[in-house]
Amino acid sequence: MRRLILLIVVFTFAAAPAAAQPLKLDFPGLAERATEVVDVTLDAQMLRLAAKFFSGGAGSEERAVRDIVQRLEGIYVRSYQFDHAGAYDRRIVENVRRQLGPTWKRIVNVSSRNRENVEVFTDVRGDAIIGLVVIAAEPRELTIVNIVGPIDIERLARLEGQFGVPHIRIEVKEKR
Amino acid sequence: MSLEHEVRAALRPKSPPAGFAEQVVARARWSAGGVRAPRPFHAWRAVAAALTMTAILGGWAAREAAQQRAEGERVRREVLTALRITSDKLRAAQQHVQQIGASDEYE
Repeated sequence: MRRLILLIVVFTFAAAPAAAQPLKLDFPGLAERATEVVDVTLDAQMLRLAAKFFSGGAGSEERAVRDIVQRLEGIYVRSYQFDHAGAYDRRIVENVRRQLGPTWKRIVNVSSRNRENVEVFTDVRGDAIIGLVVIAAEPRELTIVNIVGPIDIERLARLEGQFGVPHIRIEVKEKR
Repeated sequence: MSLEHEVRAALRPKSPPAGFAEQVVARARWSAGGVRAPRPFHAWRAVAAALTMTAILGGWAAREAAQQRAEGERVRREVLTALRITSDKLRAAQQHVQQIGASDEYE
C-alpha cells in the first residue's frame, strides 16, 4: 500500500507539466519615485479571458496572439521611468536575477556604461522554452518583463509588425 | 309614481353571479371550522411576477456581460502593452548586438 502511494506521488509529479514560477516583482516605494509606471499583472485566468477577445479566422494575427496568450500562465511587466539618473537601487536588478533558478540561461547580455543594459533569460526544459525574463536597466528607466508558460518563438515572430509590435530579428554575428 | 318604480326596481330579484353559491359555502365552512376560503387565482399576477423576474434577471445578466466585456477589453490592451514593451526591449538588445557585430567587422 505504501509503495502504491509512493508510486502515485511520483507519477503525479512526473506527469505535471514543467512550468516556470512567476518572479516576485514587488518593489516598494519605486512607483512613487517614478514619473511613469507601467504595471501589468496577468495571471492564467486573466489571460484566458483576454484570449477570448482576440478573435479572427484561421491565419489572422488576432488568432496568432490568441494561440500564444491562451497557453501562457502569466505575463508580468514592471516598467518605471524617472526624471533623473540613479533614482533606483541597482540591487533591484540583482534581486530579480537571484530568483532565477539553475534551469534559467542568460541568452543575451548587453552591457553599456551610459546606455541601456539588457539581459534576456530563458527557462528551457527539454526543447521547450517555458519562461522568459527581460531586464532592461537604463540610468533613467528600469523595465522587467516576466513571461511564464510555454513560449512559441515561431508564433511570437509572426506577430512582428502587428499591433505595434516591432520587427525583431536577433542575429549574433560571430567574431572573426 | 317614480318612487314606486324605484322601490320595485330596487327590490327586483336578481340572479347571483357565477360561483356565488360556492363562495358562500366556502366562506360558511371557513367561519365554522376556521378553514380559509381559497383565494381566486389571478393569472395576471403570475404573469406580472414572471415578467418582473425576467426583467431583473435579464438586466443582471446584461450587466454581467457588459462588465466582463469591459474587463476583457482592458486585459486585451494590457496584453498588447506587455507584448509591445517586451519586443521593444528585445529590439534594443538586437540593436546593441548588431552594433557590436558591425564594429567587429570594421576592425
